[in-house]
Amino acid sequence: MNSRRTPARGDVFTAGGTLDTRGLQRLQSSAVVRWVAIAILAAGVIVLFNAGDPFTLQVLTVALLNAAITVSLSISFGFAGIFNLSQGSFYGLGAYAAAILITDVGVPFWVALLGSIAVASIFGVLMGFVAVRLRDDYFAFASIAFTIIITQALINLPELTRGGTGFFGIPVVDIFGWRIATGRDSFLLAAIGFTVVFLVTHRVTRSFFGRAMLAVNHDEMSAKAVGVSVVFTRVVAMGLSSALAGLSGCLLTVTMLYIQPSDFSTVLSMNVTLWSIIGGPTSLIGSAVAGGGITFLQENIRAIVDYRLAILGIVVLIAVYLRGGVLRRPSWMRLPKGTR
Amino acid sequence: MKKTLTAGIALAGVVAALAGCSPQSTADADEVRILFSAPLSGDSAESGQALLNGAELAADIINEAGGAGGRTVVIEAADDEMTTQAANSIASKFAADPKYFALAGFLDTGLAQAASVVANRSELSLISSFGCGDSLVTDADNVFVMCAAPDANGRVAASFIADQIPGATFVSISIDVPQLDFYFNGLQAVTDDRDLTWASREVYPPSATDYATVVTNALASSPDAIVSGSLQASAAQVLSQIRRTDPDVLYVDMLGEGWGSTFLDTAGDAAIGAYTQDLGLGFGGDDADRVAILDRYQDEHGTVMSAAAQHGYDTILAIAAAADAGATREDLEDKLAEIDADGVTGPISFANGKRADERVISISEITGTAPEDRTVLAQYTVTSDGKISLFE
Amino acid sequence: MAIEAEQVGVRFGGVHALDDVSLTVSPGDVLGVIGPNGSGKTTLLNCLSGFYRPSTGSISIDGTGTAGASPAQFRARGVVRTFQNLRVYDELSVLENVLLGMHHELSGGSLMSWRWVAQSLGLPRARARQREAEEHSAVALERVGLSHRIRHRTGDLSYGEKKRLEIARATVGDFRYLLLDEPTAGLSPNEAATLLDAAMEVAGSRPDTALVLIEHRLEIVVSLSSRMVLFDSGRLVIEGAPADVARDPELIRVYTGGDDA
Repeated sequence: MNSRRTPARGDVFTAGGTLDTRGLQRLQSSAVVRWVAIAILAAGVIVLFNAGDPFTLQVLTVALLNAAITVSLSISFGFAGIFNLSQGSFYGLGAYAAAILITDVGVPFWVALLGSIAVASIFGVLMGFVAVRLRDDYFAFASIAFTIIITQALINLPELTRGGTGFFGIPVVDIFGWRIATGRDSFLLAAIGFTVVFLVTHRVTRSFFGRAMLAVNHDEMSAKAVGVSVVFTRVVAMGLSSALAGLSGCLLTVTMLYIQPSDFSTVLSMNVTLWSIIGGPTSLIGSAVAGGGITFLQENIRAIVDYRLAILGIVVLIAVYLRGGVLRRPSWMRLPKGTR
Repeated sequence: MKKTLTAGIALAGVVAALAGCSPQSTADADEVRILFSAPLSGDSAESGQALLNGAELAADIINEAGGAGGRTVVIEAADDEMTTQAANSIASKFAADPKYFALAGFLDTGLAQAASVVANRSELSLISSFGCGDSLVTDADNVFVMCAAPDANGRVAASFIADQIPGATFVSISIDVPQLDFYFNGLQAVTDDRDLTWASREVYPPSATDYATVVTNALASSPDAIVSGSLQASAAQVLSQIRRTDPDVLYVDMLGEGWGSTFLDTAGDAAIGAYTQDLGLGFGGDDADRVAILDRYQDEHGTVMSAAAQHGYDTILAIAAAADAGATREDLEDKLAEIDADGVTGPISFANGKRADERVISISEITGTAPEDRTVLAQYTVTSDGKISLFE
Repeated sequence: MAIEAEQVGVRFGGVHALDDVSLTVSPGDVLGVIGPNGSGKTTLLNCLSGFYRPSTGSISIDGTGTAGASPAQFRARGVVRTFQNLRVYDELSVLENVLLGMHHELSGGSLMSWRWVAQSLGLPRARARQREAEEHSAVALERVGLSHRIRHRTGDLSYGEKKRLEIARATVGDFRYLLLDEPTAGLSPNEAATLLDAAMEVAGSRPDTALVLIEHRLEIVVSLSSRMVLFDSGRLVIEGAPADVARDPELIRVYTGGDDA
């Protein structure tokens, strides 16, 4: 079999030389299905925006933001292979930067957004340099230490952060005329934010940089031989995944209007990494479903006081048992046709 | 592939079932349903549970007396796990479901703040039972705060010292947590007013088990009094160590949790002569009704009715009083402003704003090793604008 | 225009992996490198591709020194290589492995460039570049006879196929010096022939590229090289025309471990 044509769009992945007809793979690579799914989601957002009750909207807002930080974690954790246990801290840095800028400095929303991204990126890049030096487990320790330091800083710099009791009194923001005043507005903003984070992550990971990250992740020597700069790749990967977390943090601030240091503790960071593992570290949809889904589940079973933790535990076990993921893309489909 | 689909279907099923589990309903005309938020798991579970216990006791007693305006008071507990996310979702649940007459609870200022934002969107109010920070009244306009002054206990401790030993020098020994800042503010305010000297502030981390260092440091300046910012067990241990060196220094509580059997058992004889703060008229106080409530709590839960429990109790009292006056979920705010009731912590009214108008705090001397062995020495009233005076 | 190694020495502890090695590789050369195991051939390759830094001596490319340069920088200056123990990404598809070989071109040739951002974001020019890269990849794969495997998972390939893939990856972009470390080890004669034909086609038979080939099979090396060098215990023992080196008694002595050198 010597087909000499160049790869064309619409090719279905094959293994072993035969055209693959297994349903889900067909599904996952079909453009039609993709567009239908997007249409359904968009419709869902519109319906919820108009008819959702405060509780559902609140839970979904948080779920969307958690999904966003999980998706962005896949850049550093899934693709670049950095054992990043501090995603919650970048989320928190973004949130606090926005809170301080909006409340105490009085800047408009988009300036605060840029500020959040900048602050989170700077620390992300810093940790990226650390990641170049430290491998795997050692970096994990470093990132936990980072998380603890940031939490402590948030508590112990009350002049800046209002300390342990949290940052209250954040005014309602105005995004070019759209006031984020109600639960509906918050939900829509979170949905838009999630979409942006997802799209950026999707673009970057399916680009040649995504390939470079995977190369550095799986075999550094080989990567160097083709001209990939390990330093640059790791630093940028951390910077990017942190920047997107910072963006999400800004959205958290303007939707919740209240944040406290304990919201961004090691617990959250570990959870985000856990969700990423459950959803599949390189699967964006899996990450989103795991991060958002578990959050959604958590809140909906809060009423069931007695068995709540057990139910959560069982769900996690089910997901993990089914070999590593809620939605796991077979690895060679990681970069499908249309890779840029 | 099969596995993924199966997993997907299973999860979808679970979510659908759970979503169906909490249907919305219309308000039940026969009940006053209160959504009560408190930490029931995690580090603060003990205090959260106490808050809830107090609330449930109030509900029971009110229902036994015929209910609030003839309606049964129902407490629906929600575990807020001390996280913002939980507080937000509980508050949004309150906003979404008209069967809830009121939202109350909250051990912590932060959580009450979070909840207030959400409740505000639906133009509803909430009652913070124990969260006491100023921001709740300055940065929000829909939170009723049960505690009159966050620094009340600190003020009372210092006032007591000033009354006993004018111009005294004192040292504080406490856990190192940011929540105690309010208490210290109170100490400082009265120290400045009454010409006391606050020689040093000794702190230890919440997980500490050895207090030798803080005790040594505290006693180094030979103070006249020592203010304790510790919970029962550690307060007792600190006291025991102090008494080995200095049998006379005045030891007074600043937290107002009420020192019960845990304290007494740990300290033993060293407890005698220590001064504890209690809310209201004190555990040895005169009011028979109040004493009955405290005793009943002790019987039902096996521990002394702590400050948290008492606040939980008074919260329900306040809500019931408003319900009695014909309040609805929407105008609860207006009716609460008009109530005038007598709670375990003192008189309950919100005439001067959303913070409770006054709080009575008693100082009692421990006279023996049994929980009843104490004598009320002084009773102070602290008002929402920070004035402190002896209770008449 | 050449890679020049001048009195290069590499020490690991007390061992001289390379000892006072000087040689030049110029475009148009096919340099065959032979010698027993452990004689320093791979170490030489590692020095020429930037993976080892010489303890003594220097390496320069086109007259410019390479002190402190990273392997990626060597790549930027035209050096590509394969590895003795085969380094391909099993988890990626064949196409993606080869596309990695285009990383240097796609990233704009320098570490921080606007092109990198454009490429990552998928801007229109970048997409065109990507398509171009995919076409180059298809050509490179055809050259080594792997076109039919283009979208297969690399882990599913046979050992021989993977070796060919590695060559395709190394040669897909622009390069001047192709360094192959025992490319035919473990291959059947047919596979070896295909692979070497590809290597010669893309590097060995052009005036502007050079091929450095570490090879054990003497007859192969002799037939392909324009020049040969023999290594023994880290030192360059003989250098010359293939026919001469093949007949040199030193060769036999080195391989059979005759008198002490």
